[in-house]
Amino acid sequence: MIAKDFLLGECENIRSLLDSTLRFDYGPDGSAKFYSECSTRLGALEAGLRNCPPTDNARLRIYAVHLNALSTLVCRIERSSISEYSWPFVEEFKKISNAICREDTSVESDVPLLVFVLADGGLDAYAIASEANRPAYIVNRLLTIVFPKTLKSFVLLHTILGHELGHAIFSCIHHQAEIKKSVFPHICHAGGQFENQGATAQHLFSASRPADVSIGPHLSEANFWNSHSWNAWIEEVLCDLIGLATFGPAFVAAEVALLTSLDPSRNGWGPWHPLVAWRINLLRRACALLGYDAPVTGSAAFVQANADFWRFIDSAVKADPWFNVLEDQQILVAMNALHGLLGAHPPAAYASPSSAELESLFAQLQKQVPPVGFQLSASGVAQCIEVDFRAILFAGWLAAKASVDPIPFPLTNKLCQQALIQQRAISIYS
Amino acid sequence: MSLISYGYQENSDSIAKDYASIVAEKVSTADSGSTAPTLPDSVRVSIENLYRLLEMFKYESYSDEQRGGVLMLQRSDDAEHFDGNEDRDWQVRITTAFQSSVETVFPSVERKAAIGQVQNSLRTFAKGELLVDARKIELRDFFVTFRDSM
Repeated sequence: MIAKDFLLGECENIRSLLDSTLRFDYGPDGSAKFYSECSTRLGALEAGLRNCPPTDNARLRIYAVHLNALSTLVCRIERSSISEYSWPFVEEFKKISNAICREDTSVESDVPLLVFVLADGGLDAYAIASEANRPAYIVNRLLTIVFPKTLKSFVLLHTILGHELGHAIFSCIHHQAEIKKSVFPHICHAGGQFENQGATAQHLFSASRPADVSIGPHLSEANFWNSHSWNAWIEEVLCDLIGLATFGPAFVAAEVALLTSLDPSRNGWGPWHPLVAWRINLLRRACALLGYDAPVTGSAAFVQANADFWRFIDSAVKADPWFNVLEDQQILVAMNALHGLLGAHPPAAYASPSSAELESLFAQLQKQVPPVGFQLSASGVAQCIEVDFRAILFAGWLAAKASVDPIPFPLTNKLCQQALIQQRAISIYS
Repeated sequence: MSLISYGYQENSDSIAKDYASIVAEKVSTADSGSTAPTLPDSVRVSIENLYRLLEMFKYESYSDEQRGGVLMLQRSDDAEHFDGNEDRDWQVRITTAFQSSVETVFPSVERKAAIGQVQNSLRTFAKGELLVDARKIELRDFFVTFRDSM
């Protein structure tokens, strides 16, 4: 009896906490949708609790766990504030996630998931948590995007969220079915390193493994997957490819910068993440196959900056072929399939900017002004030009990695963040 | 140190069973021919979760595990501390129960078409629109069979 009464009391407490979430400023969309969703969740939990016999410990425990999850979510919403993250980036990112992270619900088809943004932690905080599809006390699933609080204005690094977007896309049931049909067969192709668990473990423990890739004494080819998830490793590879298909070279630069900062040797892995060097080598090869690193034309400074950018990426690539885990043909077919999936949900797919557009943005950054699609013609007429925010971010990476007159990284990020705001206004008239 | 720690317990099938009961009962007691009033939260949540489960069943796509962030790289050289292996038992139990419902209520209908029909009826019911008696009975029987098969 005590447990049931206590949990019903907690429902009241959560309701009171929920009311306070309406007071805060979350950006243009406000918090009404979250309030409504959380209220419905609470209503369902409370109704279930009231009907639950006070001696049914198993069910009471389920309600306790789900009430706890709801209160955690409400607290996060209550703590979140637009002033803590880069809202110009978030608004652009939401255009992508709203276009592709959609699902059919019982009342409507093709409904975007609710997106909630939170700032927390440091370097490794980047994440998108998409609520599970399995039965729970929820109506509409929430996507919680987490930015590192310490990197608030570092919009160039925020492109890493292309990877996290991959997880969110994979959690959409119809996309998951399509990916399993058209992408996984190429990542897990016959005879490849990811054909199955055995093939991956065999490669990891093969005699050709470089000496500096050490494996703990308790691990063997036979027991490796008792402590690691092969499915998660495959999903991580998929999400890296989705990151590239969504954000292009800027994503690869962010992944190289962040992964090598956290694991300078690039030989690390985790229970859910394959080797860093496998991932970087794969992305670099994909860029080459997609022609992203093709020589550009333009000013000497622009041509040089492009070369410098790819030199930066190449500095993280490992030369030993053991680190190359997918064949060229499989990478290409998988990327084409992903471009097909993303391309059906504009503006999700990355489209390379023209050399002229990129050079124009780069030239503005060199003058330390926000790089946007605006210029005055020779006769003094203002021209507003639509520019995709991903082109601005790529230009930012070029300016930051240029060997001649590089712009300091924090300043480049601030200029690019300003550009995202200004471009939002310019795009109204372009 | 937190007040209490407890291992994750998968209870998806138990919740799904509750939801099936709620929807079957609500469908049985709904007035014929009248527009349904606004559904209570417990019914809305039940319908939505069952609809989503039917999507998973239809596409045979159940992967929904939560992963850490892109950069989470802690090593796991010690197998004892890994608890990330996916619990697939709930998927098997729910798939089997749905399969049983399809075979019982739609014996001569192709699987995807049967699921689509149940989803359409659920949507009609969720929107408060008229659901003819034959569809109501079908919907009720589908979820009663599902519940009893769990």
